Amino acid sequence: MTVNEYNICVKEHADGIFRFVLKQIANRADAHDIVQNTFEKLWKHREKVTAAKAKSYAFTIAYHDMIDLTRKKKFVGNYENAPERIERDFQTQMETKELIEKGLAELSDIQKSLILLRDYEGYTYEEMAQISELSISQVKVYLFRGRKKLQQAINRLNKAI
Amino acid sequence: MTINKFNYEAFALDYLEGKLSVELTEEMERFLATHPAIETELSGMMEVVYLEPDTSIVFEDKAALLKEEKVVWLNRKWAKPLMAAASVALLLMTYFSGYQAGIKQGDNTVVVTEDKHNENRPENSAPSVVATIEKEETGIVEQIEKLPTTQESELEKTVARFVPKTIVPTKNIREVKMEVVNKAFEEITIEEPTTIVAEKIQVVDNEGIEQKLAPKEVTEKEPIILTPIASIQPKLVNAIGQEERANNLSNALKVELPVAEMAGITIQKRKRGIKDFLGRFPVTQLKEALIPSYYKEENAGQ
Repeated sequence: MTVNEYNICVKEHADGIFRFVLKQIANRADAHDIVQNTFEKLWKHREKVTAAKAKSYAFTIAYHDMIDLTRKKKFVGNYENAPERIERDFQTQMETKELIEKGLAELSDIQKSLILLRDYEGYTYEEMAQISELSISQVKVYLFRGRKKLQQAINRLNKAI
Repeated sequence: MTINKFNYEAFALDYLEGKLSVELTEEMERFLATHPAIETELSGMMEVVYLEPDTSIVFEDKAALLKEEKVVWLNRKWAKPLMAAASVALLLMTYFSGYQAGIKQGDNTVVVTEDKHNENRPENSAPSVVATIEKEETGIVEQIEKLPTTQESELEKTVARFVPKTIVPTKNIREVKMEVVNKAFEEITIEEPTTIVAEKIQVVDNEGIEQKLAPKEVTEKEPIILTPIASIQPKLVNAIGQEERANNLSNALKVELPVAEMAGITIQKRKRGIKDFLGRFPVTQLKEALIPSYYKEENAGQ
């Protein structure tokens, strides 16, 4: 990958990776660090990565960095977002967007990641399997369960309003 | 039937999205007809929720991630020396590549040395040759200290030339090759061109039994038969007269062997190394001990 191709990759995918990560960890500073780290690694390995594979490569790095971070955070206890959640519970009006946000929060990490990769970036099952290091069947099952759970959560939250 | 209650989830989304093949869709419908609970589950999902990216979220520090292409402008003052350096590099590369090709493709034979000394090395010496070099290198430095000072400086210089000290164990063979080429580039001057050609090779093991093929170096004029280090040990003792010093020296020469056993760089390094070593080393008896045929022919010529 040339310097120019790397720069194109930054311009085209930095936002997507940032969105993908931020949606899941809900912490701008951490998401920023992950994007930065992702592109540092991509730059470091640019000779091995072709331009065509750069996007998947970057998403794979970001995905695994994010998993590492969430594991670490779960281990020490995630209190950062607690006030925000309580505050939101008091809101009486919820828009569809917020319903989806809440529904997403109920999914497992892997279900959430796969849905975001599919819907945000339009990845194929094969690409998602590569990024998440799962089999294609596993990806399909996680995705199906994730979507089912998301829909059930949204229906439930909708009724509660 | 390929779809069952244990695997239907892997087909469910494609079914809901209408992406299953005709055969699989029919199969799925047959399956759902016999599993009403699952049919209810799927019919409750007819409106699958898809997410849309929030494009208002952007990574604002993109500029910090971008890299610049380095453009080097040559100053007129430096152009000539740099061009000269580039020609030398080209010359060296041609030499190395041509040399390897000659060994692999011509009538010449690739060096395979079965040295009993190798038994002392770890079993996995092939992948960790570099580590071995460093290890041996340390051994050599210790050995050199025991030599008389006149020989020490000469030996030290020669060993230093051919042991890539900067190599670290994590590097792979390709990187090592580059180190050697770079090293050669630093060290070799054009006044000392090397005209070594590999030809048929002969090897003798510790017991003096001819076993495999070993390097035979040929200058433009006369052939030199190199003897593996292990088998010249007694000759060294004779030549030097002291067993301890002979041991030291033979250990020093062993430096070449781990390098020699690495595919690719081995031959270049060993040939250059030993030839240069012998050319510089002050003790003439040693030359005789190491390459008797060279001496025999040289003397006959005189």
